[in-house]
Amino acid sequence: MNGPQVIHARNNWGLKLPSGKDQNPLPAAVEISPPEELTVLLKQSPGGISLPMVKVGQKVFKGQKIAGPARNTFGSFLHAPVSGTVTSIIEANDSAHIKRAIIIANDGLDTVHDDCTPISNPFQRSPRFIRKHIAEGGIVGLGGALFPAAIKLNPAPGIKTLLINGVECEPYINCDNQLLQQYPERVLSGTQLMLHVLGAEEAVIAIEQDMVHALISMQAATDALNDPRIRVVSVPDVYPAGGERQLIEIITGLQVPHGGLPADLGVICQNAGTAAAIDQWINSGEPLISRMVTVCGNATAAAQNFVVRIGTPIAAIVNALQATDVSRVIIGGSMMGVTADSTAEPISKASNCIILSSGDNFSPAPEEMPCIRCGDCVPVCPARINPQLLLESMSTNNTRQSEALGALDCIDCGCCDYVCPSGIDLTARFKIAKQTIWEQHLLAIRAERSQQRFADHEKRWLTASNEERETLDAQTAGFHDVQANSKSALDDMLKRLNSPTPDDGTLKDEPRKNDEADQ
Amino acid sequence: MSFLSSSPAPHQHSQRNVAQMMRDVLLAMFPVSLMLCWTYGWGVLLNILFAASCCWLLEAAALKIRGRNLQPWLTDGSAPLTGVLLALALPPLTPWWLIVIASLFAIVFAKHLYGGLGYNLFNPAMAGYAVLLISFPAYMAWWPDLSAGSSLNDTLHYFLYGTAAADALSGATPLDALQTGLKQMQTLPELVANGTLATAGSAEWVWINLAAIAGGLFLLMRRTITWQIPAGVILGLTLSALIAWIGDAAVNPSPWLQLVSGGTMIGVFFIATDPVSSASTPKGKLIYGAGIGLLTYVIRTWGAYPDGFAFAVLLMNLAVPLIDRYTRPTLYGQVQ
Repeated sequence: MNGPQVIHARNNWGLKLPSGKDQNPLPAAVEISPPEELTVLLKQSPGGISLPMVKVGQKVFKGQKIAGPARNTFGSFLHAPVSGTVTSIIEANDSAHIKRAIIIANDGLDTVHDDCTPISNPFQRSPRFIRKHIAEGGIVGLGGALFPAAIKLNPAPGIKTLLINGVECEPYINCDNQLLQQYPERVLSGTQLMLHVLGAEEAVIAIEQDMVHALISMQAATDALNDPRIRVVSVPDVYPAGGERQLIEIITGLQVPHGGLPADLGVICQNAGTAAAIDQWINSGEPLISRMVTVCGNATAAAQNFVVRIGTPIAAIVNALQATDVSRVIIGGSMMGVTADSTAEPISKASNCIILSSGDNFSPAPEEMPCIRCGDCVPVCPARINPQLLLESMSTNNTRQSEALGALDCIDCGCCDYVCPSGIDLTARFKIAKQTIWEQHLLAIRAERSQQRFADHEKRWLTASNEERETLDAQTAGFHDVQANSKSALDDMLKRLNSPTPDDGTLKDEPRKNDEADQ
Repeated sequence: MSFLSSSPAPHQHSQRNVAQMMRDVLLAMFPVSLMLCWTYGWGVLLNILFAASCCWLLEAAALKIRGRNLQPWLTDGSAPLTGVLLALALPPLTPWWLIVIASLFAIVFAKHLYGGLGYNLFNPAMAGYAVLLISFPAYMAWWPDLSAGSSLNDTLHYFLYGTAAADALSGATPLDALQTGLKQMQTLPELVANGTLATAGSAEWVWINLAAIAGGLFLLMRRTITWQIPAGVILGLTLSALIAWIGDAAVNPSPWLQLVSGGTMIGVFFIATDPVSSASTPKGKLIYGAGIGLLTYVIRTWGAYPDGFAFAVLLMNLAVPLIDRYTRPTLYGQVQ
C-alpha cells in the first residue's frame, strides 16, 4: 500500500490559519430529525431562481421534485426533503428578509416518492443518460458555489483529469472531513460515476494534509477499490487551497487562464460532497435533500457534524442541540461565512457550517485606521491582486482602474482582511467594487443597445414609404419634449422603443413605475 | 430570533494593529539608542526625549487644527517614532530649536499636509532631517570629540544656547573623516594607519550598527518588517561599493566599511522600512531598497554630504508610486 502522494507548497499566497478542527477521528455523524416545517429556498444555484412545480395545499412525498430551473438558466431541481403538504410559496423577496421559498409542513412519515429509485448497472448506461439523471437529482456543487454538477460534467473534448476537492481549508468547516472519514466509498463511487460521464483518464482526490484521518480512510478505501484511475493526494494546509482555481494551481502548477475555465487545462473540479451526493442519488435513489453540516461555535458544547435535511431552519438545529444564548449565527466558515439575519433562515444546499455564537465568538478586527501601505496584503492574495492599490483606486471612485487592478478577480477569501493591521474591511469593500463595476457594464450594454435601436430606426425611416414614416414618427412622438428636460417623456419614448425587442430579462427597467409615480 | 448585528466576513482576524507595529519599532531601536548614548553621552538621550515629545505635541496640534479626533492618532505611536528616528539621525549635540524646526517640518509639512498617517509621500523623519542638513549644514557637521567626552552640564548648555567650547565639537564621524581624508588625497590605508578613522570612532560605530542589526532582527522575527527592503539596501550598497573597491581598494572604502559607518544599519532596518513611504509589493520592496543602497553610495562618494542615506530615502520615496505600479503581481490566470 502506498501512502497518498504529497504535494508541497510552491506558492506563497494564502494563510496558515489555526484550523479549529478536531484532529481526532470524528465520531459518526447523526441526523437531526427534520422539524415540523421546512423552508426550501428557491434560489439554490448561482444561475437563477428555480420555478415552483407544486401548488399550495398539494401533498408532496420525500424526494419529489418541487421546483425546476427556468429555461436557459443554471438553476437546479429542488426536491421535497420530507413528505407532507405545501403550506405556502413565497414568490418574492420581501423587505423582512424573507426569501423566495416553498414551505412544507412535515407529516413525519417520510413517505418516499416513486421517482426515487436507484439506477441499476449505471456503468452500462450512456454517459449522457447519467449526466441527465444527475441534473434530475438536483445535484449542485456542494463546496459552496452550488453550480449544477451536470453542467460542469458536460464532457468537453480533452478533459483528462477529474479533480475531487476534499480540501476543506476554511477554519471551523468540517463536513467534508466527516464525509471523507465516514463514507469514503461513497465519494469513490461518485468519482467513478463522474469518470464514466466525462470519459476522463484519471481522478485525483485532493485532501488537506492536516486532515489526517480523512487521508487515512480515503487512502484505505482507494486501495481496497483498486481502480488504477483514482489516486489520493495530500496538499498543503494553506487557506484558501480549497478554492477551485487555487487547488488546480497547487495540483497542476498551472493557472486557469483569465476568463477561462478549468476545462481549458483539461481539468474538471468537483467537491467531495458532490461526489457522495451523486452516489447517493444514482445508487440509492435519494436526490439531494440533505447534506452534512458542521455545527460549532461557543454557544454549542462541541463542534459536531450532522446530517441535516435541506430546508431545516437554523432554529430547529439550535433547539435540537439545546444551545442557549445564541446571539449571532454565521452560515459558513470564519473567513467567508455570512451572518444570518435570523434563526428562521433555513439550511440550503450551500450550508456547510453553522457557527452559533453567544456574545463574541471572534475577537473583533482592530479599530479601523488608514492604510499604512505595509503591503502585508499583497503576498497573501491568492488572486494576486495588490489589495492596497485596489483600495486606493476605490477611494477615488476610479472603477476602470479598479477593474484593471483585478477587482473582479477577487474571490472574497478574506486573506487581506485577516492580515491588515489597520483593520480595514477590504473584502466587504471589494464586494461593493465588483457590484459597481457590473452595474456600469450593464449600463454600458444598455446604452449600446439603445444607440443601436436608434440607428436602426433612423435607417428604417430613411428607407420607408410615407405611410410607414407616419407609424415610425408616432413611435418617436414626444422626442422633442426631451429637450425640455422632461424625464417622463424620455422614459416613455424609451419604453416604446424597448418594447418590441425581446429582452433577456436582466436589463428590464423595473424601477420605471416609481419614476412615473414621482411625476 | 433575528439578529441586528451583522459584520461582514472575514470574522477572524490576526491580532496585529498599527499601534503595536509602531511600538515594536520603538522597542527595536532600544539597543542602538543605548549604544549611541554609551558612545556619545547624554546628548543622544536628550535628543531622543525632546524630539519624541516635540513630534507628539506637534501631532496633537496638527490634529486639532485639522479638526480631527485626537484618538487613536495620539496613541498609535507614529509621531514619537518619527521623533526618535529624527533624533538618531542628528548629531549628539544639537540645539533645541533645530529639533523643533525639524519636528515641525516632519510632522506638519511632510505628514499632515499630505493627509496624516498613511498618506505621506515622504518619510517624515528624513524630510525633517533633510531640512536641517540643507539649511544648517554647519550644525549638522559638528560632532563631539569622542576622546574629550562631554558632561551633562556642557550638553545641556549646548542644547539650550547652541554654544560650546571650541574644541568640544572638533570631532567627526567616520564618514566625515573618510570624505575629508580622501579629498585631501590620502589613501585608505593611510587613514587607517594614522588613526584618523579610529579617532572618528570607526570601532564604536561598528558596535552601534551591530546594535541596530539586533533590533532589525527582532522586527523581522516579529514580522513587523519584511526582509525585502533591508536586503535590497544592503545588496545595493554592498554591490556598488564592491565594484569600486575591487577597482581600487586604496581610495574606495570596502563594502564592510560602508555598511558599518554612519547610521547605515539604523537606516536599513528602521528608516527605509517605514511602511507608509516605501514600496508595498515584495518585488517593489527589493527594488526600493536597492535604489536606496545605490543612491547612498553615489551621494557618499560623489556628493557634498558625507552621508547620503536621508537623501537616498527621500529620492526613492518619490519613485514609490511608480515602483508599486510596475511591480504589481500578475493577476491569477494572466501569467505569460
